Amino acid sequence: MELDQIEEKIRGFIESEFPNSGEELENTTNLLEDWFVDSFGIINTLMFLENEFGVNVDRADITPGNFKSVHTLSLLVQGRLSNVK
Amino acid sequence: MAGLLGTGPVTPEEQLKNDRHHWAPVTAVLLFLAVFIYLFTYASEELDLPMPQSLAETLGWEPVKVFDDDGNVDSSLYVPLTFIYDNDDERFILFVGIAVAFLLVYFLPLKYKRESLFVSFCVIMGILYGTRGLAGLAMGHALVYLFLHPVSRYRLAIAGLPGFLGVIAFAEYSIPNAKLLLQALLTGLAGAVVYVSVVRPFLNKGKMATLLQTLIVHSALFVTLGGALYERETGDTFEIALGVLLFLWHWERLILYHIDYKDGRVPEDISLVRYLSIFMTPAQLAHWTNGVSIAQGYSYCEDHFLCEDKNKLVFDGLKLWTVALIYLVFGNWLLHHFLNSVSRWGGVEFFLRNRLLACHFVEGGAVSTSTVLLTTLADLLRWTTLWGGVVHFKVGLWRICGYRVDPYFNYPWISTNLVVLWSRLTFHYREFLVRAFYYPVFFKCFKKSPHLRILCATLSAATVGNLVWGHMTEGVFYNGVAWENIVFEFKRWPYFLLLGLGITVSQFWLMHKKKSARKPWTFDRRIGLDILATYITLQFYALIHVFMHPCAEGSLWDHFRLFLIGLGGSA
Repeated sequence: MELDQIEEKIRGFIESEFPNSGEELENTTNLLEDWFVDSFGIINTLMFLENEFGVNVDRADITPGNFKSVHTLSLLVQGRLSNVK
Repeated sequence: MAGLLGTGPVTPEEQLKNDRHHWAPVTAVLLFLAVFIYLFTYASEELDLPMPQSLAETLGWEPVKVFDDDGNVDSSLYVPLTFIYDNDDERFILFVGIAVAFLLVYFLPLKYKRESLFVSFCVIMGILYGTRGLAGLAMGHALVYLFLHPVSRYRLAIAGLPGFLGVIAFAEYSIPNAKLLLQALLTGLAGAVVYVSVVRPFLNKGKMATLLQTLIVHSALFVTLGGALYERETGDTFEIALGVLLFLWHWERLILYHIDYKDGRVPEDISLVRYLSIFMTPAQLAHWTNGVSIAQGYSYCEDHFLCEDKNKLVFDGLKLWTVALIYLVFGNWLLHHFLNSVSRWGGVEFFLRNRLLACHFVEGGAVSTSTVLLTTLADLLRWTTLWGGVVHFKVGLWRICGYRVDPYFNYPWISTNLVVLWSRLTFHYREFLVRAFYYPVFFKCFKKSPHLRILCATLSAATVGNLVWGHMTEGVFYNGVAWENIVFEFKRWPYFLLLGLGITVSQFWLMHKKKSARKPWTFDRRIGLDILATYITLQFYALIHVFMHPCAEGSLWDHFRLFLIGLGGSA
């Protein structure tokens, strides 16, 4: 799957699960500031990544680097998908 | 609100950029500490200044539950587990020590800053707890360091530290002397030989190394269980030496450090001093036994040190100290008047503590639903008043020392569900439970069934982890290593189960509720629902505490009936 396709899916999920009227969501928007307002947001996103893309995510993947933006989350997914192949 | 993940790694270049001196924050910190010293110590008496109580009376304010018998402010902020000085003198040493530590960490070059915090800690702790206390604590950490970060060649001297410090901590002596030093050196040497020949070979073997490291990181749990079993079998009291007890109080942060270690986030060649500077900072000293998980493990500390302009951090810390002052000085006074007003206007009988209510009920006293609800809320309010003052002071101190540590206690009174409440009431402890117990289950079990997965992960953290690693261990440290203290903690199981189930239901609701851009407590036509949701959240959390503060003479069934009365049932 191409990176932009992954980004589109993740962006769609975040926009619907964490609607934020104050800011438009770009692929590089910092999610750690305003979007993931509680820990369950992270858990919910993890379950989405597993179900939508069939990738395995570990505890060690829950880092600011991976969850910083739609783009970094997409890179994590793409990395896992290429490992599966 | 505090985020789950923080801001990410911070580079030395960014830290240097954030390390610019300015006179205003320095002056402000010193002024704040002068106020703390004036309010909470005997300094005003020594300086022939009017005592805080006299000053208040001169200004026409004669409050109840603010001042103690000696005329200064009666404070819940103190230095526990030490008997060298009285509380006021301990606080004086602490505040002066903090002032020196702050000046050092503020003005020293970047590469010495965190090390300076460690040195300041050692000096302040040495004065407050004595050499034995400091040596016992350092011995525990030196052992952990040697197990997690095996040493060789020129660093081999570190292997002698546990033996050396152990003699300083446990030997019989009045003042350190040459004989003691020789004994300590020889024991250190013997310890280093044992480490090199017996322990270190195992630390290179995968599973054995993991087992040994896990055992030492969880030593607090094993000591409490082993000691309690020993006490039960022999009837002898199992005493934990002061320094070791202080080390064991670090167990939650130690477990988080170990998680970072297992995730590969701790450098293998981390120096001993850098390791110690994670755990031994002045911010640990104020009220050692409260807020023990503040600042979490290695990566949290690394990611949050000078990640912002240090002057902004200082002023943020001072804001928290202002809140701490309000709690510490006015908390009990405000609580007293609030509860009296509620009692007078509402006409509802209530008790100040859950235990008093439970004992009244167990002895056959009549209890109404409103009494149970109001008592449990009043007890929660009382407890959080104490808690709020101490943890705001501690987090503020971390910030003044240069760490952008998230608030521990962050407006819990606006939590509209239990997930948010758990985060706002006790953020760093929640992080400990999530990382140590929630994630391991979440990532291993029931991946095909989201609801079962969340239920098991939550029960693992909020019920099992919270009970065994959180409260049982802590209860034993507070009340003594005895089997009956462990049994007492386990008798509180309904609280932990109901908390786990409540948080699980909150998560299910968050999963399935209609998503909206509206944030809670926005002033619009739905604010009534926010108020209702907040009341239900707080009341549920308060109500389940009838199991947390039981009457010793009552049975589980008695407390369950009390819980049902709180839900609207009858006795």
